[in-house]
Amino acid sequence: MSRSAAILLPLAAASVFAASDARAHCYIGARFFPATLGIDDPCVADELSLPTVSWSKTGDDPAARELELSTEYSKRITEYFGVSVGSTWTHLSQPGMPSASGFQNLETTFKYQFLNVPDREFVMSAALAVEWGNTGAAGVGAETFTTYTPTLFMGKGFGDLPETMGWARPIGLTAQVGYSVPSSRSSMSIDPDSGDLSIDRHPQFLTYGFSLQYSMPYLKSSVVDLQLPDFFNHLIPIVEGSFQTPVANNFGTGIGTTGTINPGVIWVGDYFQVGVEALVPINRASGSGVGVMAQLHLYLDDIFPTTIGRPLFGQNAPARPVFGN
Amino acid sequence: MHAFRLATAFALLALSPADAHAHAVLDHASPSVGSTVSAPREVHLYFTQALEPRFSAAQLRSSSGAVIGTGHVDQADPKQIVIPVRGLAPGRYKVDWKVLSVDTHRTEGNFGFEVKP
Repeated sequence: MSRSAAILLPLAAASVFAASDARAHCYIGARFFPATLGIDDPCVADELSLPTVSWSKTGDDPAARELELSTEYSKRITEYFGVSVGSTWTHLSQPGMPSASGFQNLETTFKYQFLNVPDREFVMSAALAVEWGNTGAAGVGAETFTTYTPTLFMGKGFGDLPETMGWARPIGLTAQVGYSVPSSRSSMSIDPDSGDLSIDRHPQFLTYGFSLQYSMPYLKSSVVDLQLPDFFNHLIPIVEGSFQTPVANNFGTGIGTTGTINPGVIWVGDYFQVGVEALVPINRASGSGVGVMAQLHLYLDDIFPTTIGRPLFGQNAPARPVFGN
Repeated sequence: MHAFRLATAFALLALSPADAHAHAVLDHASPSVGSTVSAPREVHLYFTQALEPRFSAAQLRSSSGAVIGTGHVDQADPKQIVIPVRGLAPGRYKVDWKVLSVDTHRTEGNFGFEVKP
C-alpha cells in the first residue's frame, strides 16, 4: 500500500454521511478518558492528532538528538469498530555524523471496542496494529519488514468508589499490552567497514503501557465543585508509562527492556485537547536525559457531528433515558 | 511531506466547522456538586450544550435510593434541566442525569449534595 493511498482512502470513506446518535470519543458512563500521548486510549473514535511533537536524546553513544513530528487519523467504521492511520517524520542529528531525516514506516490500526460497562466506567478493546515494512526511510531506522502487533486495551474509572473516598473517584487508569511479531525472523547485511556479512535478528517484543489520570472535569461535575477558575476544571494531570521487552528471537542482540515514564498534563476542551508530557527514560538504553512531547488532538465527532465525525455504518437510534434502580 | 500537507489541509478544514456542537456535559448545578445547603425548592442542572428534550432527563434520589423527583429540559433554556422538589428532609441526595445533545451525542453522570438540618 502506498503512503498516500493509505491516508486518502479513509478520508474519502469518511465523507459518507451516516445517521443517529453516538457517544463518540471516549465517554464510558460518567467517565471521559482523554486521548493519551504515549499509549493509545481504550476507545474507537473519530479524531485527529495533528501534530504530536517530541524531542529527546536517544540511547546511542554518543546520543543523537531526535525530533519527531507525527499525525494520526482515526475513523469509526461502526460505532465500536475503527481504523487509524499514523505517520511519523523523524530528524536525527548525532555529533560528528551527518543528520538524517525521513518518515518512519506507515502504521495502520484496526480496533474493536468489545466491552463497555458504563456503571463501572470500564471499557476494553482489542486491536491489530500493522507497521508496514519498506514504507519509511531506512536512514532514520524504518525497518524493511512488516510488524504485526495484536494489542489489548482497558480503561477503568474509579467513580464507583464509596462517597467517603470522594477524592479518589476522579482517578482513571488505562493500560495496554501487545505482542509484536515481525514478518521475517532475520535479515542479512554487509558491514560497510569490514565487508563482513552479518545476520540481524528481528526479535518479538512484549509491548505494554499504562496511564494514571486525575480528572479535574470529573471532580467538578461528579464529586465536588470547588469553584476553581475554569481553566483548572479542564485539566487532567497524568502519568504515562510505555515499555517494550524482547521475549523471543533476541539471543545475542543485546536488546533489553526500554521505555519511558511520562508525567504531564492534558487540557480538555469541547472540540480539542492539548497535552504536554516529559519523557523520562527508564534506563540508558531508552535515552539520555529528559525529553518532551506535546500534542494537539481534534475531536472530529464534535467538530463535524453530522458528517465525517460519525461512524459510517450502524449507529443505534436515540433512546429515552432509562435510570437504574 | 505529502502526508503532512494532506493532514494539515484536513486540520484546517476541521477547524472551520459550519455546524459544530460538542458533547453536553454538566457545567454546574444548583445546589452545587458536593455542597451542603438548606432545603432547595428546585434542583437545576446547567449543561454546556443544548439538549434534546425527548431524550434528556434527571432524577433525584434519597440516600435510600428512593426517587424523590424527576426533571426535564427547561422549555425556556434548552441547556438546563430542572427537578422540582418540595420539603427535602435533611440528609444526602443523589442526582442521576442522562442527556442527548442536539448533535445526538449521549452523555450521563451523577453527583450528590446534602441538605443540612
